[in-house]
Amino acid sequence: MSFKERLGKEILFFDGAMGTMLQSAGLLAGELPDIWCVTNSEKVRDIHVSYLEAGCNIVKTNTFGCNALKLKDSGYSVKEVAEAGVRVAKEAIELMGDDTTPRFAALDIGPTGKLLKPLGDLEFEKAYELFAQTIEAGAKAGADLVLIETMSDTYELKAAVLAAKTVCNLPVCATVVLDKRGKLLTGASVDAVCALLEGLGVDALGFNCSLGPKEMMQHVKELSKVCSLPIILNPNAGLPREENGKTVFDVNPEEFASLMEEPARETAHLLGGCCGTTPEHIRALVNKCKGITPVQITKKTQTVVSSFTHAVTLDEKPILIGERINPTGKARLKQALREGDYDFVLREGLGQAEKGAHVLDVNAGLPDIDEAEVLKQLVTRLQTVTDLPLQIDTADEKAMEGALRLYNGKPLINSVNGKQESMNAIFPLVKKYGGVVVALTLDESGIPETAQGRVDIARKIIERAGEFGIDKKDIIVDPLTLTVSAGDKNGKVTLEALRRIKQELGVKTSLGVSNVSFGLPRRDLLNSAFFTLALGAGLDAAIMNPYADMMMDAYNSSLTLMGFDEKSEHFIEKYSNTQAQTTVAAGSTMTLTDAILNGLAGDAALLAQKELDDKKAPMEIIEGMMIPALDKAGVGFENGTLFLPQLLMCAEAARSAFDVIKANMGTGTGESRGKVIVATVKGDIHDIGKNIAKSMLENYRFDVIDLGKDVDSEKIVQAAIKHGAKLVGLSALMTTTVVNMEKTIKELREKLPECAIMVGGAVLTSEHAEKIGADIFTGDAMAGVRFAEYIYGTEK
Amino acid sequence: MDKIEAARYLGMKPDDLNERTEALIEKCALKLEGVIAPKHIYAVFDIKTKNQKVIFPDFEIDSNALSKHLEKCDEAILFAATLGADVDRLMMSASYTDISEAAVMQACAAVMIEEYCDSVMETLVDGENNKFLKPRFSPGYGDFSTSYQRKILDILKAPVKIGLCVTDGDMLVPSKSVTAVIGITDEKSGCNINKCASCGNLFCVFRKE
Repeated sequence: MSFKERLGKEILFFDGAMGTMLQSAGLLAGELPDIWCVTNSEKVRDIHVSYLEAGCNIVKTNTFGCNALKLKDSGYSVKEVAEAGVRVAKEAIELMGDDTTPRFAALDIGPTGKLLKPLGDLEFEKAYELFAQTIEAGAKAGADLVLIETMSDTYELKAAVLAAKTVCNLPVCATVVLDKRGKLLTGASVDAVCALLEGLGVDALGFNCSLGPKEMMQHVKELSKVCSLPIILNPNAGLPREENGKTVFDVNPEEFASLMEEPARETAHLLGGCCGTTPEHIRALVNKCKGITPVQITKKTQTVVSSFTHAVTLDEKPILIGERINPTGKARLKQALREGDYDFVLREGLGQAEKGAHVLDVNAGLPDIDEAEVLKQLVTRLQTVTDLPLQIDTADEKAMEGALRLYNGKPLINSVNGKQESMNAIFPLVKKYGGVVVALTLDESGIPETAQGRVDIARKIIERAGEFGIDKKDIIVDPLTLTVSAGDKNGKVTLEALRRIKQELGVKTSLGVSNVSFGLPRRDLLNSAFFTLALGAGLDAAIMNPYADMMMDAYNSSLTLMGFDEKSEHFIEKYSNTQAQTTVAAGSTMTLTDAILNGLAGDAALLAQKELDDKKAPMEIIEGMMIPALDKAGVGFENGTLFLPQLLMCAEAARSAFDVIKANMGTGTGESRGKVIVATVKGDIHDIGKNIAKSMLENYRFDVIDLGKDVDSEKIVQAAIKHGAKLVGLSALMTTTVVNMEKTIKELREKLPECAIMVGGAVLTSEHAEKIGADIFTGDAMAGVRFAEYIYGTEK
Repeated sequence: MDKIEAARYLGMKPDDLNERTEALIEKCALKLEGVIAPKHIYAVFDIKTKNQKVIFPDFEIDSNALSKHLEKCDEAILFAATLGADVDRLMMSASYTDISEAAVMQACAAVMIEEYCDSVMETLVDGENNKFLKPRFSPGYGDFSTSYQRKILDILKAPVKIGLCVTDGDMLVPSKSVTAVIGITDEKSGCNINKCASCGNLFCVFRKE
């Protein structure tokens, strides 16, 4: 029987630690263990044999660090080492002769050793390629399965699993490392990891390293509650401890075996060891647990989406999907997407999170932009700043696939419908990347007018999904909201369809609630009433505007009335003694200038609105009230009477006032004083200095094009040419990256001799700046503004 | 967390602190405390110093400054610590919502990682068996090149064990992290070298007097 046939039906045993054994065989500190597959293959084989003799079924090849990055200077190729690793393991298995014990060689895949973007500097696709290269070689060499292990970042984990599923047909197992919090080092919870891995279609999953069997117990129980796959448990021999400068593990073989018995009986199907475990540990484990009939795996029915930190489960309590990142009918967002002003979009995302959204819808559907590219950018950037799961919303398959691939978690997918074409396009993507898909009840004949018609389409979609291997827990049906202004019964039909789909088909539901009121006055009244009715009918996920107070009030009130608010505590906390401040308190003498000078962002926004309400022209507000405040703060900073935190608080207050003016006036907020390109140079990923400079420049109404961090010199040059910028600002924090700053300056001088260049960063000085060819060293937050004013000839 | 120290990183002296800035520092520290997951790892090695080099059993560090610093030590600890990735996420997010918070968080987190390292060092061998710890000496001090960060992390298996990696440009990620060499000596005196005093960047704005 193959590995896959045995999986989950009998207890299978992994081997124990490889690194510890190699060290006792003479591996030096800092030496790459993997090349021993080639240089000391008999020693590696002996270790495999000792584990097989101890009774294990699966040996992990000595290829944990076998990737092109780690082998770069080793003199050995990935192919060479991966092949040797598999060959040695298979030789060991052959040496055991023909008996009835099943034995397999697992191609062992460890992390790259690099942190992926945005936290680190490794591109997702680069990580994917590194894994694909090793896995392809190992699979061709005859591995029986792939074990992706010791993963502590969901994004890297996704890259590895995708690679394994793409380049070979072997079973794929994956184990992650938990810290004492029961989370991955990069913050993901157990249920988030499970949702991601199940979505990607692994065959078994679990934990290894870091913790001992005792500490893992609670987490494996947690995992078994949400997991529908066989569970792997490869703990250390206890928690590591330092003794005379060496790491030691305290759990002896007998104790280890005893501690593993409970999971063998109750939760796990594959057991073995990690750091500190020896063939003796595995022998004791096999003796203790061999013959135990493993627990039967139950298919879980929860509908779960996840981000890189947490899972959102659609159980009884309805959730909110923020709809604001969708350009339809939103002039300011359209403008932002066209101009590549992602900061605005990110603030929309963060704002909705603050208001209480559980998931964010992301849509970049504008006819005149490259939707696929913009959607990728949005997903990548949003998952940098918010931990909410995303709902990828596009009608363009290419854009959908691109975004699903880069999403760090198990997303909501918006949407599929009952048309064959749609199902044939979307279901393979759901199967490949994982996700919960929103199914719209329409097909080739349009949207049925009756509830029955919509139930029928929903049923058809669920059945067709089943043919692709997609479970109905991964489908949310949207019975479609049509405006009542186009048909008196529209609201009623939707509610009836919603109720019946839930009851008859047993799936979760969602609705774009606010569509109900198109074309009618006081849409807020209709929307919130319809929302309440839909919640009553069993709505599970509402796509809505979290900024709409009446909608949030309807939601919060309904939760309390539906029994989701113990002792009404949430409601009381939310609504007693709170009167939302939407206008400036009467009798207040504070001016907008005061608010900015004192760094009061909330007041500044309210006062800007008040000035607009009083019919003051935007330019008058900006020139007459805001700029003088900013100038005073800037001069104070330059004179040393005001410090960086205070200056930035003023900047933040000014920005919130600008936002109000922009939202009211669209683009008519006056001429920009000039374009400035800013970037942190290649190799450098610290951008606080650049961000401060940008924030100040924007407040002084310079049009700042922010290229981000770790930016290629070529990209900077191209942006400067494209935007016709007379000024480029570069930032570098490390001596090692100033080299790239110099390179960028050189290229800018060649292509754009007339363009001025200012530089900043902790390791720079005026002399150094001059030496590398910059025009000026801007050492603090105001210096950049002053130089930009000088260059554009607008200084006062 | 030492607010005065955070203010120093922001270019302020204790007298410059006013109520609103102090409140902002407190708010940022509180937010950071909600997400930090500090971790560390270390290992002890026998060392020798010779010809401006520090010789470990399996490798060498070429640095006159470090070699001088470890002159009277026959053992040294390789040390790495991090506040974790969530800190970076929080700071990135703040840079879009409130740049003043982003800047103050940078300062607070810098203080927190130093304080964490100090607290870990207190639990190490200092004083036991008449062994004493020298101050942490990190890549980047004097002529101790930042390129050694990779070596230190590799030896400690820090990427796997505590999630601490290095970029191609030799930057530690997560960003609020430390790598260091800590000498172990029999002599109690001469240990309190201010780490700024051994740094070549004489014009650094953060330099302690």
